[in-house]
Amino acid sequence: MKNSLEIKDLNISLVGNKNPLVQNLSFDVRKGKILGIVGESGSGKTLTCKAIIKLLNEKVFKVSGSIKLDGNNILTMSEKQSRAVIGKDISMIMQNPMTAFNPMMKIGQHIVETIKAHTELTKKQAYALGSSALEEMNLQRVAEIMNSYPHTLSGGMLQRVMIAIALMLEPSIIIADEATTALDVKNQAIILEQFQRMRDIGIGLLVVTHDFGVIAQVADDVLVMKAGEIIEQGSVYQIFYNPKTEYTKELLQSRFLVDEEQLCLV
Amino acid sequence: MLSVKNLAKQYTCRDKKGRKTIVKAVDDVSFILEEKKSYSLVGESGSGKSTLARLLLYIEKPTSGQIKIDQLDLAKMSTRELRNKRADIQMVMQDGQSSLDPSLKIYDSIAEPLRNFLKISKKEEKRRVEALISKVELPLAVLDRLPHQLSGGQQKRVTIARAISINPKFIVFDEAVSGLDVTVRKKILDLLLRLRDESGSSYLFITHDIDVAMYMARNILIMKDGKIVEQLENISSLTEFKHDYSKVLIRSLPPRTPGHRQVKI
Ligand SMILES: Nc1ncnc2c1ncn2[C@@H]1O[C@H](COP(=O)(O)OP(=O)(O)OP(=O)(O)O)[C@@H](O)[C@H]1O
Ligand SMILES: Nc1ncnc2c1ncn2[C@@H]1O[C@H](COP(=O)(O)OP(=O)(O)OP(=O)(O)O)[C@@H](O)[C@H]1O
Ligand SMILES: [Mg+2]
Ligand SMILES: [Mg+2]
Repeated sequence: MKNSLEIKDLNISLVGNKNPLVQNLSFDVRKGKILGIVGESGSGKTLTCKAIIKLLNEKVFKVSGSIKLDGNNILTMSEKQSRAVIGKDISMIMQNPMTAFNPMMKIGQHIVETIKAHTELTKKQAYALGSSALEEMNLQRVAEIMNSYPHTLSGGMLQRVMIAIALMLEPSIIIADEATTALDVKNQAIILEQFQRMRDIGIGLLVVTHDFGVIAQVADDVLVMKAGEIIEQGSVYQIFYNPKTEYTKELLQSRFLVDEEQLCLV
Repeated sequence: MLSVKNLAKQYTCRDKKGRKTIVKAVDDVSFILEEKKSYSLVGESGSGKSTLARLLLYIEKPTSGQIKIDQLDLAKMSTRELRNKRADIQMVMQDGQSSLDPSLKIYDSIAEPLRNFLKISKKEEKRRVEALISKVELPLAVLDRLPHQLSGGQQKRVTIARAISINPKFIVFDEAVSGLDVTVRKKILDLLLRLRDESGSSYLFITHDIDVAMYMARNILIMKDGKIVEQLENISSLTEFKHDYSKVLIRSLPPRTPGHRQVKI
């Protein structure tokens, strides 16, 4: 099928080790839809995301299966081809914002270089585009942020910078790995609105999260992962109202800690 | 046990043209945290929570103000006194991976505080490290690995294991469970509650998750723009929040099910 990211029989293991870390994953990220992934910590969600953007070191990981974007298999492309496709068509928001940035490079420089690598914009235009992308993420004092090093920003500010970078070039697929873990609920709601806006202009999103509130708010379809495998998949309504596996039921039961009635939430 | 008076931390930052602005990351904050009580700190991203935590641990020095632990002024302590105090106070940093030494095996990261503060045999050390890693729901096999070989949530749990290793009197948890799946999260939170009741330690729990905040403590501080805008003791329901910002937070809570989805206005 065209117009989507199709993953088929994806297997990931360590080189020289038979035990798979990720096993027989098959799923599609359709454009104009949000696919949520929930699951056990350590079940292979991040490895799967990294495999899609070819970020797994070949000396360490063995990846097999196919990952097709608009029909072209990323795994069998030449290095040069895949780099062009991935930078422009797929962007990823990393789980760990601090290690995703070059500590020696100012945010503004990072943003301008990213934009210039994929567009014909001038430096000045790139700077303006980057600044407005940051503003859309509800960041204050944007001029100072552009001139800051990553370690001087708070965890949630850095997450929003990374989200801005992933969204600003409007790729066809966005992968968000725990993108709102460090955000207060107000900023999270702003980011989720941005995700929905991206979906509405036809972008496909893969949203990995432990937060069922995020899934409830934005996902169209959901995958549940455990121990390297997809154990359940379905529409968001099916997963919430009619879960099939014990593990999904267990997750749904543990998602609230405090009795809702006690909290007097309406 | 811990009292903070007029605490402030300012950073200077500059834009491209070199114009200076002062960021008041922590702005004239005063509060008292009592012994054997736990507190949750919730607040806007960038409001100064992690900075406040670093000041309490004395990893960074305040611009002004005072921090007293057991009546002793941190600023007046000698290096040696501070070192001894460090055994009483531990912190789980927001950023799991960068708070672990990338070249140290997980075993050594967890053993480090044991070696620094307790005199125990190698055998006892091994026993304790293994007990700690199981307590945070991880297999013993991770002990031989390096931090980058673990998932985000696994790294977080290692930093929790390390912080509880020497039974400190006071632990600051900065977004400690935010990368964990909900079942593991509940197990870890219950473990922490149990440890707290057994050893009588106190916690400051920084979290963006109001549900987690309420589960860990009913004494809640709300922070915005460097200030504590609301402090509530012993609350039983979210309706007790009075400050406008606190109410914004409660209104922004995500829906419980897709059926409760907020349609954008
Ligand atoms: N370099 C590596 N060497 C060995 N094992 C690894 C390596 N990287 C990851 N793993 C293991 O692979 C498994 C999957 O890791 P992954 O990071 O994909 O988990 P995850 O689902 O994203 O978890 P989390 O929710 O905690 O972020 C984990 O058990 C992890 O320990
Ligand atoms: N070393 C530094 N230099 C300059 N500014 C800094 C430094 N550290 C923190 N800041 C600034 O102080 C403010 C508060 O940051 P802090 O990390 O304490 O926020 P936070 O409440 O923990 O946010 P989050 O919820 O996003 O983690 C931010 O504006 C940040 O940019
Ligand atoms: Mg992960
Ligand atoms: Mg913080």
